[in-house]
Amino acid sequence: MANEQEMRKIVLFFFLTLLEEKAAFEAAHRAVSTLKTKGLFRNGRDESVARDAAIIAIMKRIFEQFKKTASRNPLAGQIGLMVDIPKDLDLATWRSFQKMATENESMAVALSKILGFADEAVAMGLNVSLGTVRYRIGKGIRTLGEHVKKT
Amino acid sequence: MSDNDDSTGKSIKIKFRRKLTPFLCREMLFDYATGNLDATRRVAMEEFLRTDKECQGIHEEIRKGIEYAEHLASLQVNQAVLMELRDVENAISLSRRYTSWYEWPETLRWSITAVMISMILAGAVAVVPWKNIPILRQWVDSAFKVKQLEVIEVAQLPRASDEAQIEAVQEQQEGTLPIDEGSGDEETEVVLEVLPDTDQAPVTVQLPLTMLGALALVPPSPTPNLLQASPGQLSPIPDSSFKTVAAEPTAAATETKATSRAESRASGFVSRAFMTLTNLDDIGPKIVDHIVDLGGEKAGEVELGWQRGTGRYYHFVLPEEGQERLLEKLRAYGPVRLSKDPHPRVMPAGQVRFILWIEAGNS
Repeated sequence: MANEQEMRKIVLFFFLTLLEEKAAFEAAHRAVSTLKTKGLFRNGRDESVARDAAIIAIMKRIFEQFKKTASRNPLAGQIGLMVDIPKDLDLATWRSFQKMATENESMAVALSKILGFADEAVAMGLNVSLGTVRYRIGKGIRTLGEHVKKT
Repeated sequence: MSDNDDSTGKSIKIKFRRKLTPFLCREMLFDYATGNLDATRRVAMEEFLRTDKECQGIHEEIRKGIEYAEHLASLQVNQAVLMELRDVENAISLSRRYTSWYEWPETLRWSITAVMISMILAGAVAVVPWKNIPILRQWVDSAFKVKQLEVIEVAQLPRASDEAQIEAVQEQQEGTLPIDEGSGDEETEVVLEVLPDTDQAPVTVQLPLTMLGALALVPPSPTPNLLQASPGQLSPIPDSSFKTVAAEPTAAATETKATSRAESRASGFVSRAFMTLTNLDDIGPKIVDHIVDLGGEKAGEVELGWQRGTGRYYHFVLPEEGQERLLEKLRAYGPVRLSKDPHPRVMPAGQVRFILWIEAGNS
């Protein structure tokens, strides 16, 4: 079931960063395929930082490929096909946060605070220092809070 | 700077407590909100937050941001999507999976193993020159002799209930007991030396080879045996009192003949024909007449046109020039299926051996 948790994280990551279900599904499909190719799904119980970092690196690379083609008209008419969204959750906040924050900040927030990857794994996966990751997370969370406060 | 130093275990008093600046406080607000500050910093932050409205606002934003992120973390992915992703395969992952022998289905692995073993055995049988191995050659020769005797015995006791067996016996008999010129008398006789238990001298008996086959299979019994029943040649001898000793001249002769047979093996032919006729009872005797008219003579034990079940069996030797004429006559009655098969039996020049089977029924 560990693999299923990782697949969930992969789907949510692309859903939150690309903000388009179709592109998110295709990206997740490619990411899972790549992870299987690299054998990262074989040891399901291995939850090491290095393995998480490898997964993050693959997701980032695929995100870079898909962000150019993904529509920035987020979630229009396609909500609920991939992800079950609770009624009390307003995704417009996240969408406005995506617009205001930098790509690095939103990615760091998504990976660390939403998907639950360790900061060390995020740092290794994004190939930046731990301090940089924490700085991006802090700044991103504050930006996100500003939008939450506004709404 | 902290108020005390826990590593030394001693409390160190700080004379001048440094006050946090608004910049430093803002920078540390996220760590404060996530609980990553040590106790001293946390106390200092709390003191500062009580007085600084701006930092209070930022702290509130961070707290709300974290709450919202935790809310987003509760998003559930559709199970159908997860199922589809679970089955994702590509050429590389598939090839990786199937290159591992232990990932293959167990049935396939056992099948491949069985096929490999069969191929190795077949290759060994085909490649190894068994006939050139002296020990095996002797064994094969001895086995050939035993088989020869068994065939003779079966040929003497034809079973009318098994048509195919009769035909096979006919052919085998002819293969081992040729009827062509110059070989019949020599091969159908064997010399036996009988040793009685009494002081009588050994008795040499010359018997047809076919009788030897029957003799070999007669179990010891209180009834008079085959030798005792031969009038005028042997005095009564108890059944258990005789045994066969090595008959050197005969064994040598048999071995020589076996070699000559092996040399001539598969160099002859037999013609086989098969027909299906509706009025076989009328046509059958006519076909016998045709064969005889064309110079054909019966071969084997049974007469020409021997009736078996609903069919008739013709086994004969025919002059080669009469073969085509016979086939023409046969085709006048119905379609003939003809084949020419290799056979160890070599016919004299100008003669062909023919086996014709006619089945009663609708052609």
